[in-house]
Amino acid sequence: MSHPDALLAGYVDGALAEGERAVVEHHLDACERCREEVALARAARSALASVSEVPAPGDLGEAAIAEARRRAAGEPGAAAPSGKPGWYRWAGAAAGIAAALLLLTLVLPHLGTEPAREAAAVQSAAAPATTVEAQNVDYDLADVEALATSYRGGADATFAANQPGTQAPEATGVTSARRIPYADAVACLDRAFTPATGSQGLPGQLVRVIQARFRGTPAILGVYLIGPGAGQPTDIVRVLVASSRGCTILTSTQATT
Amino acid sequence: MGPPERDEELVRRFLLGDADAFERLVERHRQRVYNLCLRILGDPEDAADAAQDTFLSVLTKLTQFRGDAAFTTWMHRVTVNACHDLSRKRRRQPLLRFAGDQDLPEAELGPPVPDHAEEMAGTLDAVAALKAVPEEFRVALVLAELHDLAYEQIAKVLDVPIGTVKSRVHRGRVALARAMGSDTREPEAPFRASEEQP
Repeated sequence: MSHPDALLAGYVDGALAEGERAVVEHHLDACERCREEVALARAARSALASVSEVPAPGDLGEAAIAEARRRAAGEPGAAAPSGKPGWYRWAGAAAGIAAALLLLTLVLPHLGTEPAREAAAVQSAAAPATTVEAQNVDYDLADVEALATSYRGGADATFAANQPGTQAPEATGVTSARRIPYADAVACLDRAFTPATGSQGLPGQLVRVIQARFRGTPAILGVYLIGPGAGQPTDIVRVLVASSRGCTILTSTQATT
Repeated sequence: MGPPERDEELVRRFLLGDADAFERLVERHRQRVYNLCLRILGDPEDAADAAQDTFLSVLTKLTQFRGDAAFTTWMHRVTVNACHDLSRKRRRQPLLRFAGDQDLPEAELGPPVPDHAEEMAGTLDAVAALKAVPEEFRVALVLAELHDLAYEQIAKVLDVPIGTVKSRVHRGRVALARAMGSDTREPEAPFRASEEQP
C-alpha cells in the first residue's frame, strides 16, 4: 500500500480541498499506519506552537555591515574576521593576497605616467553620454568590474570605445534594428535602479551607455562618474547593469578613480 | 513617517552605494536568520557562526540577486545553505540534501542514532526533539512551522518540488512526535520518505 505523505501534510494543516480530503479519509479508513501518523503529526504541530524565538546576539552581522561600509566607500578588501576559528585565517590570507593584487592594479598602470594624472583629472569631467554604444559582448561580473576599474585615473578609460585593443574582446556591432534608443536605455537604467517614488534620477554623470548582454541576458550598462560636487573631480565610477527586457537589476559595481 | 522600505528597495539602495541600507537589511533579518540557524543546527554557537556566514554571503551575492524572487525567499535559501555548509564541516549529522536525493545511500536517511539513549527513552521537549529529526525533514519542518513559510516558498528555498516539501514536512512532524515520546509503538525499521513528485 502506498501512503499519501504529501496529502497527509495538508490534511493535518486542514488545508485540503474537499476532494483531496475525501481521498485521504478513505485511505485512513484502511490504513492504521497513516492514522497513527496523522495523530503524531498533530501532536508535533501542537508542540511546535509553543516554541518561541530566541534573541539573536546583538552583534550578529556586524562583520558583514563593516564589510558593506568598506565596499560602499570603494575600499576593496577581504571580509572582516568574525573572531571565530577556521575561516578567518583564510580571510586573513585572502586579504593579504587581495592587498598585493590591489597594489599591482593601482601601481602598474601609473608607472611612468605621472603627467597623465593631471590630464586625467581634467578628462574626468567627461562629456555626458548621448548615444548607446552597441556591443555584441556577453559581460560577466569580472568584465563589469574591469569596465569600472578601467576608469581609474579619469575618463580616458581603457575600455573607451575608440581605443583599439582595449575594448571588450570580440566586440562587434549590433544591427541597427536591435538598437535601443538612448532615451529608452537611460529610462530603463533609471527604472531599475531608482526608487519607484520620489525619484530624483541616478546620482552622478552618465558618461557611457552600452547595449550588450550580461551572462546571456540582454542588458544595458550605464557608466556613472560621481564626485563630491563643487567642481571637484569625480572620485567614484559606478557601473550599473540592467536587463533591457524587464529593466530589472542584473548587477552593479563601483571603483574609485 | 512612511511605511517601512521593502527589502527589495533596500537592496536597490545598497547596490547604489548606500551602506546604511545593508545595515537595515541585517537588522531587519538578524532575528529570523539566527533563529532559523538555531533550529536547524540546534546549537547556539553554530547558529551564530552560520548566521554570520549568512550575512557575509548575502553581502557577497547581493549583486547576483536578480529580484525575480522575493528577497526573503532568497535570504532563506542563503541561510539554509550556510547551515548546510556548517553542518557538513562539523560532520556531526548527515548532510542536508536538497536535490538529487535519489543517490543518497539509504543509511544516511534513516533516523539518527541518538547521542544519549537514555534521553531519547523519555519525553523531550520540542526543541530538544528537533535535533533527533533527520536534517532534511527538520529544515522543511522548521521553515513551515516556525517560520510560517508557505509550501510554495519552501519549495523555492530548497529548490525541490512542492510535493517533496509536503512529504518532508509530514515525515518531520512524525519524527518529531516520536522523538518526544508521543509514540508508544515499537519503532519501525528506518525508511525513506516516499517523496511525491508532482
